[in-house]
Amino acid sequence: MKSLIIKAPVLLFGLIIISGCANSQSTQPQEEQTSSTQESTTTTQPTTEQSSIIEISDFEFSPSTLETTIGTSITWTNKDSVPHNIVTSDELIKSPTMNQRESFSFTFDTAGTYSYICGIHPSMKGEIIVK
Amino acid sequence: MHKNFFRALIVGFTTVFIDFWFHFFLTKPMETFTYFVIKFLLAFFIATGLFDLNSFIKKHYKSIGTIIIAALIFSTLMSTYYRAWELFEAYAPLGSRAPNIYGIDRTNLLLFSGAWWIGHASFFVIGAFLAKRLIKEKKS
Repeated sequence: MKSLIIKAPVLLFGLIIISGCANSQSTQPQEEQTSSTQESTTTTQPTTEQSSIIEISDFEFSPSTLETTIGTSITWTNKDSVPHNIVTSDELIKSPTMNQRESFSFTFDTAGTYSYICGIHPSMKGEIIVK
Repeated sequence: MHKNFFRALIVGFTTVFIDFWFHFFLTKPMETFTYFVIKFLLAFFIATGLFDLNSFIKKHYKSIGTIIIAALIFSTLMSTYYRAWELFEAYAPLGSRAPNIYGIDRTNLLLFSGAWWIGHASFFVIGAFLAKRLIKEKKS
């Protein structure tokens, strides 16, 4: 009986510790899940990043003036049968020649107003306002 | 010589004037200011040569042949300017600089380039005839 009185608290203490460990093991995966959710949130960020498309058709940029924010990727897509390219007035951008259905992307990292033309057809003009 | 200078000026201005409205109404995109300046200078210098040559070779003076030859030289040099732009300025494929002409398919190379060639030449011919009419040669 004496030994039972001594063994019972030890067993109970042991059970508490075991159950505690079990609880801590069962909560660990939850923490991992949380962190993996954070990672997945991080990896999905690029898809939520802003991007803009400027179409080139019938010798015109559409839209001809685009307001955007720093870090936004801008893609020009040539839908004309004639080749075009993009050249900014300060020559920050000098894209390669884009044939039909080809694209060119650029991300502005400084605020400002950027005027550009098609280097092949200099009367084609456009403007990007980066805020 | 003095007369030939003014005649050449008339040819240059007339050629650019007609070409401007041609581009304005019938082509897309519109050409640049630089393009029209080059066209004027080219027409002026070729017209100077034409009228000086005509003054020198009297029997050919009234011949339409010399004007047409000069116009075709002018048109060919304009095409050369286009090709030079594509090659050295824009690094673009040949034939890409010329604007579209409404109603003419640019994939039909013969018709498209022919229209440009004859178009430029005819503007020069009109200018040359106008110059001859406005500033007449003294009858000897």
